[in-house]
Amino acid sequence: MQEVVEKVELAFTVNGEAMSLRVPPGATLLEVLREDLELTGTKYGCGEGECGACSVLLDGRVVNSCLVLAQECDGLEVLTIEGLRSNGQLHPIQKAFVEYGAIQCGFCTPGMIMAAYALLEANPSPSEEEIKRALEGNLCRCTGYRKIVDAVLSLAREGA
Amino acid sequence: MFLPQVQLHEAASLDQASDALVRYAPHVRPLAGGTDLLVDLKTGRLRLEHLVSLNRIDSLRGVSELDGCLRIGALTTVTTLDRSPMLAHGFSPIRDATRKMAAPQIRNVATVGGNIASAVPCADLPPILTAMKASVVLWSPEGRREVPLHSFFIGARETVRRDDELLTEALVPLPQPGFGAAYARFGLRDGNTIAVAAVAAGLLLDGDDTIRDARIVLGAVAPVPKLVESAGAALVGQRPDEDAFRATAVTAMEAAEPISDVRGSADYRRELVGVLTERALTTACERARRSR
Repeated sequence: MQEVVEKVELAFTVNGEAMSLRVPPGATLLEVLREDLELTGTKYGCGEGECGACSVLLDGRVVNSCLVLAQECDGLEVLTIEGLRSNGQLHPIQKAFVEYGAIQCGFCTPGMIMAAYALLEANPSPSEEEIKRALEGNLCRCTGYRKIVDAVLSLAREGA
Repeated sequence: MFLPQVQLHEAASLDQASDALVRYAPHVRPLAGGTDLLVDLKTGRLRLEHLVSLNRIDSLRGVSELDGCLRIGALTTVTTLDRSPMLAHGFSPIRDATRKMAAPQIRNVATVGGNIASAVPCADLPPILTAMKASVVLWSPEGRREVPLHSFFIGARETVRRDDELLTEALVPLPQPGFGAAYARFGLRDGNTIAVAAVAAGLLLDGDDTIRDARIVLGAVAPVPKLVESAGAALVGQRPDEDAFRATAVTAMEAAEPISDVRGSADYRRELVGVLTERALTTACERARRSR
């Protein structure tokens, strides 16, 4: 006889706030963010790690939250698109996306912005090629990518 | 797509992991990065009741040099390996694979052990590591054994790993002076692709520019990463020139056992093997000459 575990404890930090909740053992991080924490900025796209719409930062690394088991996030720090805003102000990356028209339907945008955030944290002066590399795991079906790359490029510090 | 009900057992040690894998066999798999395994579960390609997470076993992380070998812990992510200062000089051809694999979101999570042990035919690390004569360490409470990578795979998603064993590390011997390796792959786009076909080459040149040893390994065109021994053997004693590489390419094309799928037809893949063999050999030769 195997024991059937209904729910498991999960204690982690989301957007700087310590959280403790009980989740089903097979729940993905994405499901917990959207369903339990109602952080619906992170999107469900393909569910199999191809599109990047569910991108969040997990301990500072960009990951597809649809392919991470919530249970495995115990003790870790998660940053979602909701965590980028401060004092009611959009993050500079969000502002750049608005300014450059890098958003059309908006579905890929949170994931794009989180991937761009991870890039700029690691490399504040990326080249265009480095930006394209960093966003290669995020699909956009509207923009053709040009405006997205331009928006991120506008944030690259001089002297790269 | 949702994951079916599955029990996750978080192993605190190799002993615990091995014990759980035996207890729940055959309805169990070890879980590392999960970027392949969780997709297989979601799509129903694989049905399991249990997962044994290795992610709390910290001794499985990290890249180091051990007795003249590069030791890559099984839980080392592709990103960590790619950025490791240990991949200098002779070990740098491994970056041909880590740079091109998938996308940052996957590379940040996918592990070296998973890329090998999942035995997916189009995996990027096995061909280059095989060309560099790497082996893997399989650990069980009974003991550890080192298996050369070219005899680790027995079929698509099948390896010689027993139920009670865990792949704990990959070992890559320190390349000797005059050795160069390269991995050439073709994907349908530049970014975030799965290899349609791939070829890894390893060449050892002596001071007279004669080939002393050679390995050609094919990826994504056979059920396993395929070491073409006849292609390597035919190069020994030859000059590394275009004619020799062209002849090797023909041998490699004949050895390929490609399938047709959504990414390419079997015929197309076989043609790619020819082109990629020449490319991999040319780059491996340049690197071999620089390393003398």
